[in-house]
Amino acid sequence: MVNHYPIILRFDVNIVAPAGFAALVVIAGRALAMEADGEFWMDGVNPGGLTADGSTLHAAASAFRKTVELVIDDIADEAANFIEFRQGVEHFFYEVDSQTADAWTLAREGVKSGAVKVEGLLSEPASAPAVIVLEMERRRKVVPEASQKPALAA
Amino acid sequence: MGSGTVRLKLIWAMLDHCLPGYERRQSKHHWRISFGGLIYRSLPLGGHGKRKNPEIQLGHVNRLMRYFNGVFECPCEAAECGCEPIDCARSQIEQMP
Repeated sequence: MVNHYPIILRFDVNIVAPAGFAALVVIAGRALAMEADGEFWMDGVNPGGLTADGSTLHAAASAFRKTVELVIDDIADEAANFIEFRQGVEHFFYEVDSQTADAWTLAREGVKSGAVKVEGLLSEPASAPAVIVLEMERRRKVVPEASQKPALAA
Repeated sequence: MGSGTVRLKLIWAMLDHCLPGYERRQSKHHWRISFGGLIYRSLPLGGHGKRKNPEIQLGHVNRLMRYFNGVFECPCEAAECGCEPIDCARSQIEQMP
């Protein structure tokens, strides 16, 4: 039996690229968490193209966030300038496989109906996924630390 | 779903069979797999010092193959390996759940 959980993730990533620009990436993303045999895997919906695992849902969410940060760092590592970086991040964020997106939507229905709850995780209305890529002169936080916890999409 | 591991070289052999023409590229933190216009970006490189043929969790292979479901073209007879990427992977990697 595999349990599915529709997860909302909000966080930001600070980047200083080898090409010399600094950027702030603000993410309001979606991921599908799956639990089977006491193990959690979190597949990206927006961004897609990645997965991460953990022994708990929170551990998987933390690993997922770290993986997103590393992928964005990969993109920064290869970008010749900020424009190329922004295009790369947007491509990464909006490339979706429909199978996982459909499964996320189905799992969300379970949360809305009250059938799916996760202890320690708030349910909140899901807004459209979005990514904002800003060129920065210096690092700062946009999404407050307290708001950077994963939540169930309702 | 993701229990167990498989050697990276076996993943390359599986991809040669199941996603013919795929491209792989090593970035700073991951292997990046491109196929059919899609890019899977988080296949692990393996632990430091073990990157020649590291053990990779099967969960990564599972996700990688499901990601390409929409652009997959069955490379063999359905009876041999099925016509979804994950079925094809199972036909090539016996540890796949």
